[in-house]
Amino acid sequence: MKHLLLGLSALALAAPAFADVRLSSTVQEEIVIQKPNGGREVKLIPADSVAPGDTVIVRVAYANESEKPASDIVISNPVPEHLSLVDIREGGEPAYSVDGGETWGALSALKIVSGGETRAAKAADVTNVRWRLTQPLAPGASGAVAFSARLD
Amino acid sequence: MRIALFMSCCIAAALVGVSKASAETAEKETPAGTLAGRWISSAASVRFSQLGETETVETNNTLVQVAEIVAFDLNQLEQGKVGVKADEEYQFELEVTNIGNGTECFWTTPLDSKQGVLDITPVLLRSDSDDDGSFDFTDQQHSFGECSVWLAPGQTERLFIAGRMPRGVENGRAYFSITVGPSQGLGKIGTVYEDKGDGAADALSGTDPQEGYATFYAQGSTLRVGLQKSAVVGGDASRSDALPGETIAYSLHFTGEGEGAVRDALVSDPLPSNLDYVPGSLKLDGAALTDAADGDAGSFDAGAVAVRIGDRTAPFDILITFEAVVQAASQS
Repeated sequence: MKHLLLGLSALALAAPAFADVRLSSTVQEEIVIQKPNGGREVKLIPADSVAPGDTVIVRVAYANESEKPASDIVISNPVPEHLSLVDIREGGEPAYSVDGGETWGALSALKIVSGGETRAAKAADVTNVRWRLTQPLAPGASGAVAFSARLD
Repeated sequence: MRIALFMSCCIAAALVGVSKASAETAEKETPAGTLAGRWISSAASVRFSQLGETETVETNNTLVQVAEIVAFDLNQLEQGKVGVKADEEYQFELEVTNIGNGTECFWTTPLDSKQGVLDITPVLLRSDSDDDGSFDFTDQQHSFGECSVWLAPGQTERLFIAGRMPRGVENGRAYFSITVGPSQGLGKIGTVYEDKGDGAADALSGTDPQEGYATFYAQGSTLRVGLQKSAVVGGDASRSDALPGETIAYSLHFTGEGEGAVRDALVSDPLPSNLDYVPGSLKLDGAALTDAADGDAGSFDAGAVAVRIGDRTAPFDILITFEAVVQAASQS
């Protein structure tokens, strides 16, 4: 019953009807299937519940459902609390922030200051990711961005 | 629909061996991690321009609940006891630590030891409710097989299980097996208990059921205790009589052989009325003891020498010496 209610809630919170560019966010869990022949297969399943150490894929799909092109598209996604960024799965390299969106840049250029010491930022330090689409989105066109993260 | 998807996932897991990262890492080294039952919320936004206007659109807010890893560590504090006697009760100790990310209630159930011999009879279960690390009759008592000890993530509790040594195993061993498990059950790693975790989150078994088993033994006593007294008169071991005024040196050999232990042992020797104790002559294994009933093990009081030996595990050979003088107008 809990999962059914969750599904209805997600539908009710879908993107507003007035928007010309629609967004849809999903969270999936990545699992590894050990095959009888010794092989491994990675699958994504709906992430109703995840346990510490599990890897989830946060994916944002976008589509221009209007008859006009959209430009200067910027998609922002905070890394949810208790999740640590692992890597980027779709949408190319984004800009990162390790201070809640105050400053942005390539991950290799960001620093963490803690206890009077400065060190290079790691993926797990990232608080926000942001993709800037370089090309306008034509009417009817769609795409997606995604990152993986691990539950602390 | 999501229920159906979830269940089909779990069935597939059982058939082809899906290994979730959580199950793989949920053994002893697993940190507690994010607390079970919490909701992880994720929402994105897009900003774009269209015909000179800038708009911002928010996504739907996805919610994912943190499942509970049901994981624990059982630490058997002793393998067994030696020198036990038939029909007597002994306490066996172990510790349970919750290494999962949710609050758990644990039960303890006696099992057949399957050793092919008489089992120790489980009598009583207590938890160290006063946290002093030792068994007390004021510690909380629990019933076997029932949810009894609630542990928060990272919390440890010591359990005392009293067992009675059976008859007929003198010089032999008896055994005692128990299993400890969480209230959700003791399924193999990866077993999902739907909605059974904190906050009605799904719970996931993270400890191999074998980790919940412990077997203790009790070795029947073969202890043989001896106390031998000898006396030397005037420094001459060959003499068997003493004259008034002569000093007699007494030796008490307290010995233990075989396998076993004595507890709270006290050796006392009342002096005959015609002897006067020589003050300050009492020694234990060559070390002087005071005559007062004070911090050391010895005393002389009410005409008797007494030495507290305490607990000793065989083999042991303890020598107590003291001196006495034959009173005037008497002959020993």
